[in-house]
Amino acid sequence: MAIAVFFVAAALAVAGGIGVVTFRQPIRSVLSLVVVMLALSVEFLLLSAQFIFVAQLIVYAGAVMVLFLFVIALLGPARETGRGRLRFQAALSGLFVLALLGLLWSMLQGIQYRQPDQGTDLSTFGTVQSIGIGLFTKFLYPFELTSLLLLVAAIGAIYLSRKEGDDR
Amino acid sequence: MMLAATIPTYTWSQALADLGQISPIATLTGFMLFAIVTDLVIPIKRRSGVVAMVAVVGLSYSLGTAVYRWLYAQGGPAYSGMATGDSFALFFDILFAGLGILTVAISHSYLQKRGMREGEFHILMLAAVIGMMVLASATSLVTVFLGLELLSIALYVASGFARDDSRSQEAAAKYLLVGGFASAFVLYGMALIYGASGTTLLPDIAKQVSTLSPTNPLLILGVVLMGVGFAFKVSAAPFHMWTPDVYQGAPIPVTAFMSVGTKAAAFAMIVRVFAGGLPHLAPEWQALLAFVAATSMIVGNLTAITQSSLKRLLAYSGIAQAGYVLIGVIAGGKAGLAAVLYYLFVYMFMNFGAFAVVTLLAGPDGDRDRISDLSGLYKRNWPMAVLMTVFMLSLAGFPPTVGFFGKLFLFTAGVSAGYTWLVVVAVLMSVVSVYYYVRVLIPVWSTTTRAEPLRASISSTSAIALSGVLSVVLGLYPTSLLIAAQLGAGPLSP
Repeated sequence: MAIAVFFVAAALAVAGGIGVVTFRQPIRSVLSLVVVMLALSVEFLLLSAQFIFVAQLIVYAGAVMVLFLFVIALLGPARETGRGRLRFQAALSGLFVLALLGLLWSMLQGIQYRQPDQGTDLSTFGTVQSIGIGLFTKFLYPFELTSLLLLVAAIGAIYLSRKEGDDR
Repeated sequence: MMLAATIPTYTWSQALADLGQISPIATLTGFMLFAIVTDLVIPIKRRSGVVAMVAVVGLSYSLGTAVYRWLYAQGGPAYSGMATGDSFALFFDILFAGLGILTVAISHSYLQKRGMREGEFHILMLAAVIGMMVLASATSLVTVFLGLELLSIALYVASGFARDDSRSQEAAAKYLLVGGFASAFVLYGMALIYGASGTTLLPDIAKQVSTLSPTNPLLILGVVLMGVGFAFKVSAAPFHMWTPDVYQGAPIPVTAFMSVGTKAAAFAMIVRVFAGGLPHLAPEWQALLAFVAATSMIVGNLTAITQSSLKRLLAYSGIAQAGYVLIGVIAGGKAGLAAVLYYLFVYMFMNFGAFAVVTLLAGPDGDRDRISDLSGLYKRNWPMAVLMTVFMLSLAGFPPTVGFFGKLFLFTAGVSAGYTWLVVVAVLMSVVSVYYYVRVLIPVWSTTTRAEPLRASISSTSAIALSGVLSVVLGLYPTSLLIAAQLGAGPLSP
């Protein structure tokens, strides 16, 4: 059962990913990205990561994607124009994708995966409590670094988007 | 509570010990936050230079802390093995803090001349330095990636800092796209390594990998993908396409900072991850990096010959230099890594100095970076002409400058590790490089009608002079820095 759910969600995620890059209309690309996010959230749930499942739904599929839609709607959902002089790039990129896919596929034949860790207590794994405890003890340093990263990104975004002469 | 998970104890003394290990980073972060507040609070008329002062004080404090810890403190793991304060990290902390001070020194008058805002510039530079320090002290794939992103995001914005200059905007967009692409490669590789080893801590990865077969496809794919991403970041061929465009478009102080800092940080990352985390896969990544090194040296040096823009010339020269440094990484061991650390440290002075001289040429309308813009420099400002000569000769590797000893240590390490063919390529290409480095010097010393004096602010002059003096003095007395580099390489060489 879990295997079936995994493959359905994985196929949806891949299809959505292809949709993001192939659709010409930005709105359709964003909606494909929503499909990817939803499919990924199902995969998280299969891994018993309940909190990440909910966060993925609310933050990515909900908030971030709605923001994307707003931005695209505000800018006017213009169709992407023709490819112009670089028409050969599509064929070339397709060729490279197939080559890379073939390479990965042949390498992954007969691979032995690591067994899952034994002794994980599934009654607490993936809960808000255990993630919170992890964030503030074992992962304190990366957590604080992330806050610094977001601060720098915010400063950069404000600088780049400010109007000229708005210097007070 | 039915879901009560056991809470590990984290005591105050433990917290202080952890903070002590990363004190150069913590100090600088504090000063960066203070700089943000300063920029907000002080009225604009009196603001000029205040944020720069805060930045310099912060960087000096951080430098001092790193030197103090180098001399007196015991380095060790911190934050459950996510970071470390060992001598390798401290060596790079000193390098990055010094580079930050030099950058702030040359950018003050440049920003005023081009009418750009100073506050955000210095804050972004501080953030980039913090990211580099995080990278050099990271012992977990998580922190490696966060450090990489912190430094990259700060530099994406900084390279687009000239908002009225379309080339600067183009540079930022290109850097963002290519940088994001490279980060995706690194992340994909890290995910595969994590999948194979079950841990993100580099020392634990090394332990786990030693029990696995080296032909495990997950490991090989992980190494290849991470290697590709790393090669993007050090701007090594064949992943160098973005470098000349970004270097040319970005404001020159940013280019100067980036050309040294990003390269050194990316090499710190390569050594941490490959030599520290995957020593059992050495044959695989050595083969990959040897190919990249040879291509970089050939492509970089041959393309540099035809350039007419100084920024592009120095960009291609940087691609070639990345190839030389990779020889040391491939050779590995104490000698190889010490040569890498030595070279990166002296590269700071010679490459930064060359860019800093080009910074002086900039006018209010933009950067002047054609080689012919240097013409008659000795009449316009003779100390700068002398210093530019020192930097170019050092980059070309003439004795007794530091560039000569840097290359000497790298090449001897390469030969003794059995990579003679790579060293032969490197030596041949160094000979080629003499042509274009000297070509820059011809207009500098030629007589010309254009002889209005070139003014330089005190801070710029002292930064360039310091770089020039150290490029010669460290070449005359190479031993002390080499010993420091050997100490720095200690934690990562078995």
